[in-house]
Amino acid sequence: MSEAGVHALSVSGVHKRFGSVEALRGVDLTVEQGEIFGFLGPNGAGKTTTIRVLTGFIRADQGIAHVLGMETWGETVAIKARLGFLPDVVAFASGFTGQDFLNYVASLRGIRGRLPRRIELLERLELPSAALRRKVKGYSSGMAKKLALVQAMQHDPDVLIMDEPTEALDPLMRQELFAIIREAQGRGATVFMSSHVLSDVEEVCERVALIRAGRIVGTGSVEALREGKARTMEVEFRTPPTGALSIPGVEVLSREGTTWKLAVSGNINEVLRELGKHDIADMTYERLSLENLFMGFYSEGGGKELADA
Amino acid sequence: MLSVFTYTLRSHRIGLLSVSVGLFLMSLIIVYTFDAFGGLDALAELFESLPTPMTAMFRAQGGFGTSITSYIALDYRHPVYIIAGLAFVLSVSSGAAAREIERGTALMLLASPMARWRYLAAKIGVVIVGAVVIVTMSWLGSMTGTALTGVASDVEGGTLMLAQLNELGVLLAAGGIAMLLSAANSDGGRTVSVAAGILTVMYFLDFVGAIWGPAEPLAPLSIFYYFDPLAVATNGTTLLRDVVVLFGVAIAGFAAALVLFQRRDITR
Repeated sequence: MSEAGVHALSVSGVHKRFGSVEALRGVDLTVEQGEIFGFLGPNGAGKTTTIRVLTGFIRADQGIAHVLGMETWGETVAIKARLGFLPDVVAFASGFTGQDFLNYVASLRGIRGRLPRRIELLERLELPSAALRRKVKGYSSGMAKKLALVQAMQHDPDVLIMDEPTEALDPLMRQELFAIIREAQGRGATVFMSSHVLSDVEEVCERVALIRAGRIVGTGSVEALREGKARTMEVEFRTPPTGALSIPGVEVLSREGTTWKLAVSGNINEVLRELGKHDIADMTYERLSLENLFMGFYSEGGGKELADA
Repeated sequence: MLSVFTYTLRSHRIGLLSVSVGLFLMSLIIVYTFDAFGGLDALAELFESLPTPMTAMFRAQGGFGTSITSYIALDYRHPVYIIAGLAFVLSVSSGAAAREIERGTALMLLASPMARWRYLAAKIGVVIVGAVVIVTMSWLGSMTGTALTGVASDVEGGTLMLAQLNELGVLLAAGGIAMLLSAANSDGGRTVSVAAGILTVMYFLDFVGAIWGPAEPLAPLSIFYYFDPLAVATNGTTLLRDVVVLFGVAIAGFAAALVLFQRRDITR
């Protein structure tokens, strides 16, 4: 259910310190209702801490966070009634079968009996009844992740917050999960997912935020984030240029015989035109990896808001 | 909240059953040992011959009393009773918050629309119910033993129940301390060891206070100082002071745990 004029999620100037470690240093973030939003960052950047502030597990030292207009610490119970949550670490208390666990989690929400959405999710994520009758202790990491995904979505939440949802899933299951996420969005749900896999986020998210060392360093569409960032091009010449290669927005990183490695940040058409003047045997142009994207933001320093592409 | 209580009780059922049945049998056997020692006179002689540190463990420095009721009651201070009961209480308490946070099992459960204090209150409920079951089974063991040995008419069952009420106070006070530690920590193993350490020091303070004059003023700092089933049997009633202190510690510990767990960050 959407509410007019209310952000699905908003984080404003949030700081959090654990002892001597400053985990969050003024995080600002807004996610609109019905949006699928990706939250990217390397390990230890502050993704999980931000998520735990949003889910009311952690209280911010400074700043404030809201979910559907409700303050995450003071109104956490009301928020959780409308929230589905997948934690970064999926762990189950011993003794549960998969079915027991799902029933238990549902009962904590006051839900008893058959849940049509659960049945659908179990089928689509390929968790058969035989698996649900087994103790979760014996589950593989992939099965455990699927069970955790089902518990997060079985009650059709308005807001779904997922920390590394694709981890431990095989490629087919990732695609199925993305389809489920898109369908949830179609029903009006907001999805906020963290990941360190750019391709996953790129495939399903409309907007992303990059966090580094407790600060948001970029927000926008993935393409907007890529804009202006150098990408690596490897060119094998039949006849290498004799002098320096002078193309605007191109920097020569290395030369090994006839193979040159270039950093390309300019207009690709112009670069290709200039390179076309030479006799080329082969060429590879890599998509910008998350690592390289981060390196770009690292080198820039402070935060940056990008326009949506 | 009822779901959390039911699940937690179910997950500790084997431990609770083991401790309860074990203490039932222990209580039953103790009644049989009364005749094995040779009855009241022989026991009186035996206790007089025992060194003070031995009798101090049972709070029986002045003798074991003058009835089979007092003999049974003083055995409720046997270390096996204390250790078995505390093992259950510490296991539930450390698992209530600290161990679940440490293992990461708490996150999906605490993401439900339920105040955290209610979640912990359900766990406290299991500690209370478990402690009541343990002392009830201990009492039933004593009563079964007296019935089987034909001395039921010589034993004051109500008095023994009051002695077990005194033991219930000790278990709940220990539970309150352990639950507070659990609510404040994110490491189940450390919670158990710190709680066990505190209770061991308390036991030591009570024991040393009983056998060494200069340490006597420290003894009231121990919850075991307020656990005197022999006095209950001798006086026919539980000391109000003991009840107030033990249940007061329990209530304070549980209440502080609820407040702390509601306010703390859930992070490993």
